[in-house]
Amino acid sequence: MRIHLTTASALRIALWATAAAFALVATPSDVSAQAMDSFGLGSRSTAMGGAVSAHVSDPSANYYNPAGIAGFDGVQLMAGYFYSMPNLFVDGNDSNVDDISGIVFGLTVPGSIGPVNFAFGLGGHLPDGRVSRSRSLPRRQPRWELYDNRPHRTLLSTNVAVEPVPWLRIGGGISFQAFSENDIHIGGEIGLLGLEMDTDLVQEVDFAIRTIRFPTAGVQADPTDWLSFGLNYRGEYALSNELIGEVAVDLLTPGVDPFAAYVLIETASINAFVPQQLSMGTTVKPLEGLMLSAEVTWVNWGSYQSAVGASSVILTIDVPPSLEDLISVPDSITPGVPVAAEFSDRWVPRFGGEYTEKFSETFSLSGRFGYVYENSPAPPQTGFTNLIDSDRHVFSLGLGTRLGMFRPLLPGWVDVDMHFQWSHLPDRDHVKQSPADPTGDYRAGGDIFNLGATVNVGFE
Amino acid sequence: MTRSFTTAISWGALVSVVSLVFFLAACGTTAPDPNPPGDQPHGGTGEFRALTNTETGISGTAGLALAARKVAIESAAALPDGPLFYGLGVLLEEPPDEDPATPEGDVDWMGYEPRIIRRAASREGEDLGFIFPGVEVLAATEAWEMGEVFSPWPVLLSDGRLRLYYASPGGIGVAEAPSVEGTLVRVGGGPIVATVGDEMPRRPTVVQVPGGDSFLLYYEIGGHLVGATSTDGLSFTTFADPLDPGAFVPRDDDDPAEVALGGPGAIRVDTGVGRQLIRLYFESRRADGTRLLMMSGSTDGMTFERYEIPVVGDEDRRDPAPIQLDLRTTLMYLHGPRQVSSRQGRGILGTVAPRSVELVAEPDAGI
Amino acid sequence: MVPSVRRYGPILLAALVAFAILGDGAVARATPQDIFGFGARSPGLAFTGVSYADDYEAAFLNPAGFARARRRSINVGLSAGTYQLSLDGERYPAEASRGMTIGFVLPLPFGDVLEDRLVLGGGFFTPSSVLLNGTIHLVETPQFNVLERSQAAAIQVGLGMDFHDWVDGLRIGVSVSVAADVIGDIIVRLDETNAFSSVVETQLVTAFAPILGASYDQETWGVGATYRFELDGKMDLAIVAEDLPIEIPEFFVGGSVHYDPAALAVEGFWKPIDPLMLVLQVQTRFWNNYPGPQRQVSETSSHPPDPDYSVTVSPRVAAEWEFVNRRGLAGELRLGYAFEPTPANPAGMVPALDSMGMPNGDQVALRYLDNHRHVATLGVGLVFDLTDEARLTFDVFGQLHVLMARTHDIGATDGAPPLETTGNLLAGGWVMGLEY
Repeated sequence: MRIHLTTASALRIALWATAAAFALVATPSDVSAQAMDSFGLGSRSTAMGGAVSAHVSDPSANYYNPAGIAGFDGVQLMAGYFYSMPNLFVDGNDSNVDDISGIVFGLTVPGSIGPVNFAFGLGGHLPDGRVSRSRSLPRRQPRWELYDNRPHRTLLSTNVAVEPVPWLRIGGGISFQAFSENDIHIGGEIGLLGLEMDTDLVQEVDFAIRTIRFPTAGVQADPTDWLSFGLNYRGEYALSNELIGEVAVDLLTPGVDPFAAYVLIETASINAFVPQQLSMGTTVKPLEGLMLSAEVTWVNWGSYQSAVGASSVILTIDVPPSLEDLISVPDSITPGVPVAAEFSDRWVPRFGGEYTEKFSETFSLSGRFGYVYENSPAPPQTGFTNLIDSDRHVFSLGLGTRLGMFRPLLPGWVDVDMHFQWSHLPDRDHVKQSPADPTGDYRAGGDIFNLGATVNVGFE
Repeated sequence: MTRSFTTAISWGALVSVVSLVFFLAACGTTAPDPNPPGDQPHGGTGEFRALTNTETGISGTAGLALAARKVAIESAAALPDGPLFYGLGVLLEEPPDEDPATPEGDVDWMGYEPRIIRRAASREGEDLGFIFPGVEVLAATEAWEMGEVFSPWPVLLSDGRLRLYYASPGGIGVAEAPSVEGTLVRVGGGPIVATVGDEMPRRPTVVQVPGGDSFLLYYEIGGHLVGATSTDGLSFTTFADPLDPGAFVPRDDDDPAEVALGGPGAIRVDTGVGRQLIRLYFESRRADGTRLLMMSGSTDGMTFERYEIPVVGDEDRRDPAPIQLDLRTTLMYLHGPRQVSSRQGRGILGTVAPRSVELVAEPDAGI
Repeated sequence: MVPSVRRYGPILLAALVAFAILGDGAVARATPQDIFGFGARSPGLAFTGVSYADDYEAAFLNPAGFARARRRSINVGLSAGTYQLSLDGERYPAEASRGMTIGFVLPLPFGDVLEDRLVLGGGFFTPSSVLLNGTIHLVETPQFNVLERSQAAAIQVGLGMDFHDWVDGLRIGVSVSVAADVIGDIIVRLDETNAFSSVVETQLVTAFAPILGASYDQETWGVGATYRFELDGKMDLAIVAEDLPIEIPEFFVGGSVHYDPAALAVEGFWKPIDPLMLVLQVQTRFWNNYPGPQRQVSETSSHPPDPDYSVTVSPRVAAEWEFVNRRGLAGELRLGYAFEPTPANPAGMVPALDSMGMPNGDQVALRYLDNHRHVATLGVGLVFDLTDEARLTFDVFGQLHVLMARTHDIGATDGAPPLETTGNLLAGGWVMGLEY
């Protein structure tokens, strides 16, 4: 005998489904949002300036607003590629910031139990060639703080959403991010002063990539056919890199008994920080085929933890008297202490639009535009640190087509979307308080160009 | 749509999906090496590296920018894209034995002819070395100069005139020429800073005040640095107190104490934001006899802040003479010890900061 | 009883999921799917499933099995394993294993000739609070290399293809298993002020191992075969120290921190009567390619000795009995046995290698420890129909691994009596799923 559910039990199932999906999103993959924060996910949403939290119609909803995945009628599979080329300069010299490119992907799987619609979704970005990259630079080293290393991480966002009533969708997830701890011990013998070939070393390693959790959540409401609102929250996370390196060896020199050397290095730094952020957006459809969106995002950069971390070194060498002229051991080594970044919160306005012309039941074309203004959260770098950043104006254009002529093979449609995004970072002056600052004053700015395309297959 | 067409598309789609799986997998195997951070701004603090033989166009000791046999060359200074002015002493045919009391690294000038000032042209092309011997531009002729002149410091005025500040046993003098290659004529009838008793001023270095038309003069006297100001560059008013280049901070307990300062070389620089600063390079003379070159910066030329790390790793580099090549590159000539017929001499060395900068591509670069 | 399970089951499961999410596990010390199996059905059936898997477990067992699925599903669960390893009568300090299992299956709803053809699926195992954890000991340190392999997340995604229109019952599949290589450079130096500075550049690069599978089945019997390629997650860090008072060579730190050998599994199942399924599997693991965890530390340093592991052949038998199937509830009881032979030689003295990797005439102690294992498994599976389209599944399993006592050729330290190793492992877990 089959069991048929009441509405109440269906809602309990929905609750279970929500909980299960929260578990699903607890996949401890290397998850990050920063590349998408800067360069978007999916060509349609990127072309609209990311102002899509109130109305997102493809699997990029997994990033922009997980509530949106409950609004799809069928399974959607999205795959694409983007290539971003930073041309950032300091005093006219190319800062050599790496290009950022990789695959974007998304999947949404809707279902219903009784009257309640729900959906699971997965979306993200896999950078070319690597899961993640971490870079720890010398403390004073100038670096484009938001673009140098932080975008080079995989994004894997998995979510669940429910649609309890036809005009309301609620979604969310918990994601994990990874950080590393390395404990390295090296022993053996090191030959010096002509005995280098006698060096014979062994190692012990304790290594871990650990995970931390952070939440995402969103709501979408459609009070009328032509008006939608969206609210989306992403939690904060910070990744630390910790390294303990210990070298305890005997030193071999000609004519002298082996003597001990010991080096202990400990470093800890925050390698990628993504602030919590809250987006509020609205979408209106004033005319048939026309959609306009506006959105504002509060980004809590005020709690930013600088990548300039702590380090300490212990170095002892039992130098025999006969070698004291050759080996000079410092009596103390200055430890590195963390330096506050002193970033500020920022409000980011976003605007986007889309116009769709439907030429037939199986063919339509869409044109899109977007604009985003991000004021820099970083203060002018007047002191020790050189965490370079500038304001950013982001202009984007896009073109898309929907093809529905592949039936019966594909009972649905194929969207092919392309985008071009130009980010302009106006020159910004950084004037040092100290006239003897080793970095000195500098002027920083540049442009970032981003191109991409996605294909989204929708099943009815 | 015909059945065969849809079948073809179907299998195309199947192949595409399978290919996508493998493509996603393959993407993980193509990690490009990360770019190193690009050219970064630099505050002129070093560490300066010796110019390469390719950069100087002179073979032999790395960084050697001007040297010759049987001469001791010291305290040079160059104009941007211009010649090098230097003090030179020619070894006597039969020099007396070196005075054993001469401090290590110092030249016993009793073995040399009286010093004169010469101007050496730069080598052809982009070479940053100079052609010996150049031409003599100034020799001691005035009684107050007491027989020799040295430590030249050229300043190119806005109207094209060359003004050359120099030292002599009798004090600091000034000469002018209508152009860089013109004949120098002394200005005034005596030194602008005179020797008083045993307190001989040496190593004058002059810059124009940022944003103004006045001049700042720095020189060494009695193990101190002295600063002076002038509206015309000829008549200077000395600061009330010896110049304080900023506190000396020992690197550790083994770092010898600083017992004297000297050998100043100043430069006015334009920063990347349009601000002008004065950087003063000088010798930090230590209790163990070593000399380390350090740098202090100033916005007004009168109050300085010192960068705590020596700008040149080698010891016994003296009389730095900096030139700003561009916003981040500083070229600096100085002199180091060099044997002259078994006697202590000096030779001019060229250095550059930041270390990573490549002024002239090495012959095999890019292969 | 059953109605109350229906009524409160979802809430109970939600609570279990919350526990799974919020619980912070201890550090696990083994390659979980290779030691305890993957999922909750297969681990209760002596790691079998190559011939019959039809859900997310197929990602690891045999991706061809995906092609049997006709409904979407998501699964989540917890599992744990404890080690009681004995070294000369003393407990060896191996930490417990605990982690979360996640899976999904998505039949791709194409039409025409692709209808019911392609099924996408994935299976993941994540040790609690860690993605990857590896410890590389000195070769002379007693260590259980096989059981103590790094704690690592398992990520497997695959595609099953059903060729029923060509040969009824034929399916093939491919999936990829993912591991992480950690590569990078660490440059440390003392500057002129004796201040320490460092440049650390590390990357996580994915290493992929394909899993290829095929299966053929009829109503009462079936066969399957899977080949899993070697998965070797390496750590490779170069450490350069500059401007220290002594000149020290460049260090190369790391080694193999996550290793699963290539494996070939062949399996068949038979249903002699309707509620009973019998399974027999033989799995061959090619441990002979295992490089060992250690590596050469500098250009002039000695190479670590060759672990000289052997190919192993592991037989597994299992039975599944459907003990209830009525009123929207189905239940299955599972039993299994597997023999897991060790690939490792007894700990002993082995030829030492020089910096070129050639024997230098010396002997070094190699204390890589492992024992043959007998594994008994038990499991229960329940299926609740929720609607005509949706159903809830719940699988639970338990395992006992008994290590056969082994006497090694050398002692725990030089001159000590020969090492004696024995012990057992206990493992259990559950996975629930929603199919719709």
